[in-house]
Amino acid sequence: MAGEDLLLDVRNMTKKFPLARTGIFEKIKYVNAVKNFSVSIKRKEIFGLVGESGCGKSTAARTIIRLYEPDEGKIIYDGTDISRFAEKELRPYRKKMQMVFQNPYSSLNPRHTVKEIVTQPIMFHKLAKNRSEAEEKAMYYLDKVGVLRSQVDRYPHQFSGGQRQRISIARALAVAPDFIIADEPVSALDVSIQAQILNLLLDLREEFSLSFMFIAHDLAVVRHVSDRVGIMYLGCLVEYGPYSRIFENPLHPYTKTLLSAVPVLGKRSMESVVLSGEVPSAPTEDFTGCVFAHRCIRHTEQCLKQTPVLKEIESEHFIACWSADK
Amino acid sequence: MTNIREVRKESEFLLDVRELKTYFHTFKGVVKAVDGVSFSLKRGDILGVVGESGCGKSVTGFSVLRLIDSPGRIEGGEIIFEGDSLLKKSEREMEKIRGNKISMIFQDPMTSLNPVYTIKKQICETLELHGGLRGKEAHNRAVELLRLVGIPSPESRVNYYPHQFSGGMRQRVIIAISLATSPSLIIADEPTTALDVTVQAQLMKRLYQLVKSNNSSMILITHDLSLVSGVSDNIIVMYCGRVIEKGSSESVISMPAHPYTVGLLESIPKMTGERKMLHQISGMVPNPFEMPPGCSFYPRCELGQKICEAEYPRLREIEEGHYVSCHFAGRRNF
Amino acid sequence: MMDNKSLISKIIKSEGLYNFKRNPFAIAGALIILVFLFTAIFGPHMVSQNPYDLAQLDLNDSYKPPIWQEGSDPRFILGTDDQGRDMVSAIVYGVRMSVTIGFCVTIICMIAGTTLGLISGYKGGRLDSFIMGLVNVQLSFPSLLIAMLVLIAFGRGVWKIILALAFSGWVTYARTVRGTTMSEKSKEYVEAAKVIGFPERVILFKHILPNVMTPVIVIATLQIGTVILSEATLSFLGIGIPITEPSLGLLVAQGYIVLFSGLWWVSVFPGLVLMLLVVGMNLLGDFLRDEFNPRLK
Repeated sequence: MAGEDLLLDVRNMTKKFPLARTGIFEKIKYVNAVKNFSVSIKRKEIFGLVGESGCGKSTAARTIIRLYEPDEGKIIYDGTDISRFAEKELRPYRKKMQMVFQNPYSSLNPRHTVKEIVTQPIMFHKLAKNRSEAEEKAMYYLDKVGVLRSQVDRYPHQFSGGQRQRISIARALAVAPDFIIADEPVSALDVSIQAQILNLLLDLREEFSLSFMFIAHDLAVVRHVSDRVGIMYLGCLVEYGPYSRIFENPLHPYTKTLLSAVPVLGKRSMESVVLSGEVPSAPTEDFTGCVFAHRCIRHTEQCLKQTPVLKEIESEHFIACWSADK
Repeated sequence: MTNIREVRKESEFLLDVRELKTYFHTFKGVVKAVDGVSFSLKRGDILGVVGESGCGKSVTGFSVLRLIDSPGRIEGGEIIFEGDSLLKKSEREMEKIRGNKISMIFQDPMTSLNPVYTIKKQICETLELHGGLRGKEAHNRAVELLRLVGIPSPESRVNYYPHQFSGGMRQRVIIAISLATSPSLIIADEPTTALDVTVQAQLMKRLYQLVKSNNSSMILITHDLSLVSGVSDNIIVMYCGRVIEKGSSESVISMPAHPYTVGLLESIPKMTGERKMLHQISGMVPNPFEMPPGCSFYPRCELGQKICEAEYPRLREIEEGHYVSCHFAGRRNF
Repeated sequence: MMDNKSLISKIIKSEGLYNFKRNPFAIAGALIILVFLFTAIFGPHMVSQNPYDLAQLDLNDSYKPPIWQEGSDPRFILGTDDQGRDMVSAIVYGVRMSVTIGFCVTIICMIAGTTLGLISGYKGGRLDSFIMGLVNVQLSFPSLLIAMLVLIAFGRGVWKIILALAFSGWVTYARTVRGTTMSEKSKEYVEAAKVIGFPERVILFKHILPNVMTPVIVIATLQIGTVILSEATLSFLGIGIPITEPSLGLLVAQGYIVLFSGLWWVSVFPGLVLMLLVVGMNLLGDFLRDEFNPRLK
């Protein structure tokens, strides 16, 4: 899959978080928030990442964009491994990779006006000669996302959730990035507003040739926007492939149950096959075996002992499951 | 005289809400959070109340229990529950109804349980207050309830504190508490919104079975049309404090008549079939202080005409049991 | 930038003003403070004498009672003290001193405490432990005791008392700001600022600082009253302000000696004024605290 059009290549990225110590003399234990995460994103591609809360999708995103330090693995952006870069070295990459956050109520600084919020990044990265040019640029991006010129001197709390998410998108666009991570950008919004934002993101991709990593827990939303989709469970990518394959022919047992749990319009859902139990907490670093094994109806001895790796089952469609070959 | 006749006629209904008006008097002006909402609910039925945030669906739920705090006030209308008018009852009488005959499940499983008491204490409190059960009896019933809602090994978990449960488990506990007195009506306000899909599926299934097997009724308040369509018998769609469409689940979902309902259904991404550009309802919900005089959906509506701007359309029956509040719905194809 | 006109209209339309107008205590507090501020700034130019210019004093006027009592002098409405000072003038000068000390101490504490709290909350780790260690040590001593030790070590003086009180007053700010900073720094707007690449200094002072100012302002309003009282206490004990430029506390102390010999006015009037000043500050502070506390809404 390598080649000219590869923009981001994440290889075996692992991020651990320390657990609270249980005794003074005990060694600090770590949990794998993200384990052996590998993903590649092409130019102009939207990669959808799905999973339930606590599966590590947000941690993966924040590690890729280097809000967190990765513990292992490589993050290769446009040919350069940025996984060990210090903040200074990262600066040129900060304007290439941007992020749109989930909560439109906390992702904008309540004490700054909308104009300031979008102008600041332009000024900081010196993308304009002077302040007035920077403001002009900010207006351009605000206009692109549908914020009226007459509203730019207002503060975030004077806008609705959908409008704020537009402002958040304008802030990300302001530094002219190639790649945007959108972490649950529509999950806090109402259905009709959600559609507006999704359409906007798809339009912007065309207009500015953007690549996206689109994170969501809503499968239908991910299906709607993504070219390829990855499913995460407890820090591990368990399946990924083109969206049509994932939704028409899910292969991993977890993906199957996840898909069957989604309520579908007009379908009496009370008869669907339902997974029992709930997502357990993330496994500690010395865990081996398949993370899903304990809830999997098909698990074998092997699943409990050996960690499955991603295998290509059909063209471009990967799963991490021992029972896949059988 | 007409009143008496009407009451008698409607007595087949467990709950009958008529022209309910709940207004909030804030310093910026009056917000008509619920403005003339009417619906009725038969014993054993599940009613879905759908709408986007701020449409008044939760306030409707709270109004039925008369749990409206200042600056809000129920300004008018009737709420008839089991033949009695709830609006005429004293606060004391209401206390006997709340949590007993009508119980409520809230959205946030993290805050609706008291963190300093065990689950057992919280369930037994309800049992004692409304059921008169004490000691061993109450304990056994609490364990039984936890088993009913699908909590594994309830005998030991009954002594847990809320923080020892996950979000899904807490919501189960809340459901258990709300079922403790076998209420005839359960008002569930976004019961699964904070939960993951797989947990949501388990929980809705359980709640559905429990409601149906108890012959209770439920008002399911949610923004999720897909969820409602899978569970409820009837649906009402709310917009800006008013009911704009109501009818059986099948007819509202498969033959939506109001342009807002149509738009809403088309703006949901689908799980199957070809991907198309999502339909989007342009604009936003109007500012509650500057409601348009006529149809509140008019500013965003593709069908809007002069009459819509001037006159609020009354609910009309377009086919049996399917009502819509639109001047043009059913009169034109769209 | 917002022009003045729209700022004023914003304030007029704001919910804060709406609540303010419906809260008689807050209005009373604000009025009292306005009167005191006015007195502190313009008062000395309006009274008949400078009570600390010995040339203007006449010992023959000493211990004149207030105007409504027998033996009074129409020049001295509230009577005079042992030096023949007009009590009105003395109180006005005392108010000026007390208010100046109150504001200076509060501003110093605010700047020092907020900066340390911000750094402590944002950086965490060892620096945080160190600063919070200082705070805890400070809190384990009564603040008056610390101020007394400092004053005894360095002697009297207006600036010395300001520093002595500031020395123990910054901790409240540091603790509160640290807490607020810790909750602010986990918000997504801070992450967004990091993703843009802003350096820490910019994130701290341009992005987080404006969002932690609300509790700071509330603490400040409540602190001014406390500081004025502490200063009065120290002056009363005779280790605060030098006798040549007395504050309200010192006036009370001077009159205290003769309080039970019938010369009550020397002590009582400054005491009443002091009480009124502190009550005014607290009323306004309480209102601001309720207004800014989202949990009470």
